[in-house]
Amino acid sequence: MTKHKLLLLGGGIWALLVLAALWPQLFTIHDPIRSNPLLALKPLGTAGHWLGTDYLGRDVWARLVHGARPAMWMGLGATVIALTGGVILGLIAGLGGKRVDGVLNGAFDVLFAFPDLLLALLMITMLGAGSFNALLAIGISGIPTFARLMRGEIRRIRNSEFVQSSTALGVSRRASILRHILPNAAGPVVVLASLFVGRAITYGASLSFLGLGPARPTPEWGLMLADAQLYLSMMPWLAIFPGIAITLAAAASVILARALRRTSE
Amino acid sequence: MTTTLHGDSDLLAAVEGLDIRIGATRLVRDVSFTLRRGQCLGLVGESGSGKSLTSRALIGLNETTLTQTARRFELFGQDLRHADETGWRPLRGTKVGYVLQDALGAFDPLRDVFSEVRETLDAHRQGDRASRRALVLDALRRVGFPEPELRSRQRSWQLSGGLRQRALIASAIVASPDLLIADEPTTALDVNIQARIVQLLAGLKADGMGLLFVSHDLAVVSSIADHVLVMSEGRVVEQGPTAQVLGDPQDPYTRMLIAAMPARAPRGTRLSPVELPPVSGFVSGRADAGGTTALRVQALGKSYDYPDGSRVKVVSDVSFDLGRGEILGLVGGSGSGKSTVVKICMALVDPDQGEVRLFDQPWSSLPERARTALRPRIQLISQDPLGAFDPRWTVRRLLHEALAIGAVPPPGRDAQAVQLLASVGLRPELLDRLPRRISGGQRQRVAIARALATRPDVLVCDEPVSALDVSVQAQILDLLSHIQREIGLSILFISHDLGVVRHLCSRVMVMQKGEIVEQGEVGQVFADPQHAYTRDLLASIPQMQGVPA
Repeated sequence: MTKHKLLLLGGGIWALLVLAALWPQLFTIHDPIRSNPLLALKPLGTAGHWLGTDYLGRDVWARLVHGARPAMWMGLGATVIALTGGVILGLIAGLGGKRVDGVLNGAFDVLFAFPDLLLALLMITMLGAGSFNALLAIGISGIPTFARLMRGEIRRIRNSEFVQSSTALGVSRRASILRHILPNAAGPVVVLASLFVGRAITYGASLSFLGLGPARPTPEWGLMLADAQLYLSMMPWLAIFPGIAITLAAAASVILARALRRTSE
Repeated sequence: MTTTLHGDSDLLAAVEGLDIRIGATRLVRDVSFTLRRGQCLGLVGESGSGKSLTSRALIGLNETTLTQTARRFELFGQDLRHADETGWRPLRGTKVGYVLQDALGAFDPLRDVFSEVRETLDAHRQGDRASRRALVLDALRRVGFPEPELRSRQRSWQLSGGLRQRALIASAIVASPDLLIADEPTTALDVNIQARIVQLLAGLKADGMGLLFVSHDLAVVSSIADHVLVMSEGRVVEQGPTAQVLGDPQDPYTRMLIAAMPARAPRGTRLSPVELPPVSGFVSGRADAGGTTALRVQALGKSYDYPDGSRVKVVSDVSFDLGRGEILGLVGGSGSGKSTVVKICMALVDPDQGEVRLFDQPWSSLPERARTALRPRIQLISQDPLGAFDPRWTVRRLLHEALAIGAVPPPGRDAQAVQLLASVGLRPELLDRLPRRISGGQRQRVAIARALATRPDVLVCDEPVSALDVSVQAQILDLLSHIQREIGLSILFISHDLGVVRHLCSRVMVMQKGEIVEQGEVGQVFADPQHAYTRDLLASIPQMQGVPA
């Protein structure tokens, strides 16, 4: 696929998700939280509830649409934390002297040895469950990934000939960092950030599936999956739809990342 | 065997009307030549002339995206116009050998030289283990590879450039091919090593091998080729016996190539026919410069630590003065420490011992903050300007940054940038192009324009023309000496090419193994070299054969 088509596809899915997060009323009139036992567990194709209802009689489509907001919140929030922390630490390691770099890089390596999700689980057992704590845990567990990338890019560009040549030209160190090193390091970091949004959404859903994220009755894709477990044999779509939503969000972030990478090349 | 057949067996390659195309673009047009046993055909031309495509066609290595047609295309009497991979494979290695310019890239870094040289024999299943071993060692011995039994167990990256090139030639001749194609086999090498490789190839030719020698260097070609083919833009502009083509060139392009050779032109004469405008507006050469010495280098020493703990001294006790308005040459082979001297002079690397003074003021001993303020006065031009530019920036932005450092206020920068480009012979249209989208010669001019933008007093040129074609090199050398005369810059000019140094510089220093072994007036050093290494270098300069100087 060409760069533009990729950008269009990834951007299109994202636009829909953002729209759903900001104005869910555009897509559904039903309340995602209020339960109605009379309507419980209606099958697919029920008039007015085309995707059926869950065990409390809540419209599945409405819960999916409203689930976009916590997903976006998780994806963007955790990415901002990981990006900010990673870029700052990576900058310090990349621009600092041998000793600073050695200590920081050693720490990144140790943290990097653990799977991100494991780090996030560790963090959340310390912080306690909850939607904000889940966001914090996922964000912090992503910091080493960003820090390592940032450090590597800074080191590479710092030693590149054009930075040396700008030093020789008489450009001050500060100007050289701002004008040459940072902008050239930005490309891969932006691509990683875009990838990370999708990863954070998946991890967020995983944590809430385990009951470590937002509490019921929040409309959240991971929680919807957890609730669907009991009815898996009778009404599998209760699990399939939130699954598709998570996959779509993660895929959109990968597609967008690929388009961004091609653009930055 | 009939007489005709016997007579024909001397004919290795016969090509008539060779055309190579990509889509509708003709990259090589109507090239014809023959090559006989014991003969060397020189293929001369600049980058993009189609010489490599032509040579690669002879071993069937061109990309399949290229369309190749010919009226006649025969090797060893075999029509290969429609040969595919299976048709070519039995010929490669055993009948036709191929030597590339980049010996490091041609070898697998994980395997030793012995296995790499033996690979041709393995591929064609020639002989048994013992006889293969004997053949490999014999090939290595023939190319002058020292102690083949021991040293062929080394990996290619553990060898010097010259040895690596020898090993590559050994791998090309191990199966005794009748025809050897050498594509710029000496271009990446120092002159004295180049001379030995050419000698080695000449020996193979004398043994009856046919040689297709591709090079951009007329002098090297003239020293080995019997016939020459001069190519330009895919066309053969002139061909014939070497002495005739180079001694009495008929085509204007051949004449231009010969005139552009710096070694043949005395200092101060122009190498290229291009007129240069005056360098107006940049006649800075700060009046307050003070002192008669632009750069004073005193007893420099620099060592590097290797990860395994060993310590290598790359520069030891180097001292010299660069006078105001002087062009001083620094010559040496690769690994001689030239580049480290450049970095120390530019204060990009601090010396372990000694110091560099700029106009009798401290320079290398200053803290970086104080140096930044002085940096506009001393500027660097490197071999590869593409690497020296921020890849995201247009020419305009690059020049603006330098003009800002030269304290030109923002409103005046655009006009100054245009003027700068004009003074290096470039048009203002280039301002909005990215450096990677312009030609190598244009890029080097932009690098010179950028260096001039800060109104420097000293220019350090690190192999500024090594990556350029000879005609472009001529223009850049003209430009540098023109600017030097107009502004009165002091230039430290680093090169491995003695011809270039002789043409441009008034004084020259010769560096070997981190030390300056000889320095003096160019005329004197070239006429009466004192040090053995200088003599070796000078004796190795390829001379144009059969051409009145």
